[in-house]
Amino acid sequence: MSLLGLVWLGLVALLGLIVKLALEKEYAFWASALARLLVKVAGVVCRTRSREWLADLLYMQKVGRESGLLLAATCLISSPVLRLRQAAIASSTSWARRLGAVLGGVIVVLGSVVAAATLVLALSSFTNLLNRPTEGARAEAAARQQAALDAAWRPWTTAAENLAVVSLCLAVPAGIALTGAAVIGRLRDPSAGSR
Amino acid sequence: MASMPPTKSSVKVLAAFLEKPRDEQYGFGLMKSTGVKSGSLYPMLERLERLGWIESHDECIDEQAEGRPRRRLYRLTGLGERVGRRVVADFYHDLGPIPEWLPGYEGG
Repeated sequence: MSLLGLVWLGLVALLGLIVKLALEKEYAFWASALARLLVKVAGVVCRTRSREWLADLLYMQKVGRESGLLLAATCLISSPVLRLRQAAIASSTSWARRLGAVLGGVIVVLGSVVAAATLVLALSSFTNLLNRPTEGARAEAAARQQAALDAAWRPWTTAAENLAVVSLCLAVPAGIALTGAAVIGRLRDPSAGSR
Repeated sequence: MASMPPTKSSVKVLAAFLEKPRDEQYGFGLMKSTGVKSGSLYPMLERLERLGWIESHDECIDEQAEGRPRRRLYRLTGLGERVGRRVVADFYHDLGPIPEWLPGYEGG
């Protein structure tokens, strides 16, 4: 190793020693400042705990004479989780409220429909019960119905109608068959039409 | 402990309260004494407060004179002390002998 290399190595070692001594000596200062910084950053992430964390840390630093660096670091690490947890709770609460309102509305509507239907059915049953025809009225209605049927019975009309329907049923297929035969005949002998 | 299953962390926090039931605790102090991290501690404190086992209030100090903001202080309630002792004792009963600092627990 050259002389320059040795000097360079010595300088690096000296610088490392100075930094180490400075860090150790000034640990109380920089660790406390770093802890406050970490807690403030954690407070930005999770605002609800921001004030509490800073107050606790400052109490620990002023009264307890501790930097609180480790605790501040845990606050920073856990702040996103706490924030997410709060958001999840808030969203679930709002969704539960909305869902509850919708379900409440559906239940009210369904309940009203069921209640109305039950009331209508009950009323109609009650009305039917009140207006229930007597035996005499039933016999009279049956007699009237039978008389109407007797008056509508016309044997000759019925026979004519049957004859018309049967004729129609025979005539339509026969017409279709004859037309088909004529078309087939013309197709087989095209000269028949021109003659 | 119907609405809060006794986890190791919750028992640690309850034990910290029960060691000095009349004393007020603060978040960083509880973290330091129990080793429970803030991600578990603060939700747990919220639950305990909802259950009525602890109550919290802001520290009564003059912020200007003290040169620091007010802390949030937590204190065990009467209910919390009664139920907490039983919960902690039951938890430790499964693990081993009942801790000596639980004189109020009479078993069963």
